[in-house]
Amino acid sequence: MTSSGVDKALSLVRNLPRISFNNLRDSVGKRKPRERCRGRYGGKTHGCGQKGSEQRQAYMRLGHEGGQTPFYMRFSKEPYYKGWHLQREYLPISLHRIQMLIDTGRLNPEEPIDVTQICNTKLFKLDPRKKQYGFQITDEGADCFDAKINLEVQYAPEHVIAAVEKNGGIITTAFYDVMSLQAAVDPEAFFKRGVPIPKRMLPPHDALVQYSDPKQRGYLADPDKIAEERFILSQKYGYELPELSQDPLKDMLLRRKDPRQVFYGLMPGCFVSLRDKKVFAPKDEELKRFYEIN
Amino acid sequence: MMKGGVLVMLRKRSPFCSSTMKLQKEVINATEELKYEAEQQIEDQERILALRNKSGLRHNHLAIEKGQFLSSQDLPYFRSVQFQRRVVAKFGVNSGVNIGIAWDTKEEFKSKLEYWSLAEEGSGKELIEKAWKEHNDRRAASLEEDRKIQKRVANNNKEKESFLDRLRKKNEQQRIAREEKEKLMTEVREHFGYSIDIRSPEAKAMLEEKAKEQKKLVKEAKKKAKFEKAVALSTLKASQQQQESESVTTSEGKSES
Repeated sequence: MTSSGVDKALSLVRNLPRISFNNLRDSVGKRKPRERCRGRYGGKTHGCGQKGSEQRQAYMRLGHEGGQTPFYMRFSKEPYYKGWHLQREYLPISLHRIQMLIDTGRLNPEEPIDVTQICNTKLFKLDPRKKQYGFQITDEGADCFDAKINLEVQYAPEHVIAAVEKNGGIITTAFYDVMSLQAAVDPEAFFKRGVPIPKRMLPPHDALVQYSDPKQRGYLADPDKIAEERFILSQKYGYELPELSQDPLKDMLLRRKDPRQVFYGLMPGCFVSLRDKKVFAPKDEELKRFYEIN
Repeated sequence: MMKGGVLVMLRKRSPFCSSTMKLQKEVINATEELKYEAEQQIEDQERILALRNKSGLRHNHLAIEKGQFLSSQDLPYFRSVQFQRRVVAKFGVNSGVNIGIAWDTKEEFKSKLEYWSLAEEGSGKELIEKAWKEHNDRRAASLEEDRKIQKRVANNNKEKESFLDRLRKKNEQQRIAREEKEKLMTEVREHFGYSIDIRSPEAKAMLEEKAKEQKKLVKEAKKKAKFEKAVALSTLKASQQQQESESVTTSEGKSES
């Protein structure tokens, strides 16, 4: 038996390009255009049959069994995902991505990097209305991350913290409530609303421990304990902790926001006029007391 | 603006006096003249603006182009706080709206204070301490639970062995009882013959008798064993006492010598 068919097939396989969606299509006749119910044989009942509930469009709901307890109601519920839609979400960004943003000039490593700076790149869509409370840093690219930055995010695991601190950087986890986050994510749109900068709220009860834990570099944690934990982590991961006091970027690296502050350099309660390029503070004593303006 | 600095002074006179009427007319005329002048100025300005408007845009579109707010229009929503805030944000201090509108009104501030008092009941420090205490308590309770489980798991093998022992003993006892019963049954069969039905009354009576005899024998054997044990114990005690007395006498003899 000649193997010319086989040879042909093999030569085809050798020479044809790889299968992809670009070079696949349905078999002929598989996709037919929908036939409209018009005319002689599409007319009269128009595909709805004779009399009855179907022709009269009085269909029963899906799953209904004429009154008998339907299948979907015979068994008790098991709330596996109860409250799932209310969970806080933190959008993931990898260390690799951050390195790329710094290398391509979208993020400035000589300024503190926080939610506002990341959102200003316009590469990330953070919607506080969808229970997205900020960013979390993932470990992809931790082995080739070499930027020295002052990073403020909402969550970072231990080995990511180690990767950042190994290069002499500082990482902080901070909480933003929905109103403050709306301001931080799009400051320009917020200032155009004509309202003053909000006072940031403390984390909810179930997140207080996380944001006051020095191991997670919480913004409410004791700075001395954070320094201790930095040393312990360096011992655990086997790197020498760089000296911050000798660093020329020491001031930038040690710069932190007040727990009630949303933007660096701007106090809560201040009104920013983009038109006049001025910042206005309230004069009312009650407002000053509320916003803790001295 | 007054024309030529004209000041009309109305002296106290009867309102129906002809000179008063004349004065009032003068005032009316003067104000009408002033009104007419103001209107004329507005018209002139509009005419000049229209001449300058080479683009031909409508005045509200021109205002958008120049970034100005047309406060001359008075639409209902212009009076809303939200709109005025947006005007202040967009057009700044020169929008004509008081910049203080940006901050809360009295009602808004009141509800804000109420919200904050409920959202943060206590200072930050207190809330953090409370959260950590609960966290530590939960952790301690779960560690305690783990310890209890570990303890139980450590005793698992012992429990298992003791259970198996009990089971073995029970099985052994059952086997012995079964064997004894079988033995008695064979004796009964030997007595009556192998064709006898073991459930018949004679066989049962014989079985009972034999069982009683067996019990007696077992009891006597137990008694005997007990007696022998007691005898052995007493002889042991006696020998110990004898040894002690002997040691005492030897020590006395040594001391005397």
